[in-house]
Amino acid sequence: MLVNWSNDWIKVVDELNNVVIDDFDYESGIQGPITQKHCVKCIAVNQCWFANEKNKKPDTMEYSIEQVLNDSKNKIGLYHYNCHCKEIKIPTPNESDIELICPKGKEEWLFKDKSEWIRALGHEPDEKFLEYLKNKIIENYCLGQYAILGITNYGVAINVFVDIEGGGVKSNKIYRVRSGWMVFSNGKLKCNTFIGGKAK
Amino acid sequence: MKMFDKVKILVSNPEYEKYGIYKGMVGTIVEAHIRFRSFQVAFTDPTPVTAENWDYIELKDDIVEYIHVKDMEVVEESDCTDEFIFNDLPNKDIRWYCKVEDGYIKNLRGEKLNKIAYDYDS
Repeated sequence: MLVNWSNDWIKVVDELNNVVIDDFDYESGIQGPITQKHCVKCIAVNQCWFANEKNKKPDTMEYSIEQVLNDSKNKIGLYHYNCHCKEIKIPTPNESDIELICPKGKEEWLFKDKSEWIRALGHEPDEKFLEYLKNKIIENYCLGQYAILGITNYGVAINVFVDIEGGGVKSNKIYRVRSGWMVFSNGKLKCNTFIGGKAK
Repeated sequence: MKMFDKVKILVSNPEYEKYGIYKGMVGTIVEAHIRFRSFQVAFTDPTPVTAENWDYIELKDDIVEYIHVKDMEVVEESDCTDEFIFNDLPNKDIRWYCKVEDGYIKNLRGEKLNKIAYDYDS
């Protein structure tokens, strides 16, 4: 399989905003008072790392020539007029730079709901497979093997594409699955679903 | 309503439908905490599988999205304990809201988020 990997990465930085998506606690929503000066998108992406490619980083605003030349009231910004966000180039993340946030419930859900899948791949639904899967997710995220699904007040949702080597009698096969995560600040990824299904 | 309960969607909502979630679908709550008065719910994707060269083609993908608590009802309760829920709350902060009982969104201390019973946005 050809691997389309990324070695060009950016970090989104809003120097006027210290708030990041993983700061939000039980009572302060992203649309709450703390964010009045910043839009949902700018909060969700602040301090997050992305491969510098389309569909792997938040879409930037495209301004027409007329807007650029004639609109003197508003300042051209990255995601919208008067946006403070900037893209800062960063080194390609190492696997050790990535921190996975994996609630225990998600691990239980994997073993309960996806045990048939895992066995169909020739593995057993156990801690050994989970560690293997986590390592593959980190490896492939660092290779830029992911796509943005959407940006909401829960954060930036991505699918990481993971090649799982078959086990046992399936050891000659490679299965490409998608794994759902939220991008949090500074190399953190929060699990939505370890195995969401087949990569389309 | 709490973690691992099976829940049914009660409404047709374009915001859900764009993710493939429709009225009547049954999913499972897969995250302990309530965020923006919503639980994260996993559904089986009803889209027919068309992938080739897979030897487990009968198995279905899933959809994982946040659903407002007012938009679903419990169809099967789980036996998930308060201890498990507490250990899965972000930063194990007991103040996170994580249950819906008697028309109120509550945390493990019994504190209520909504002011009026069954009006979950109050």
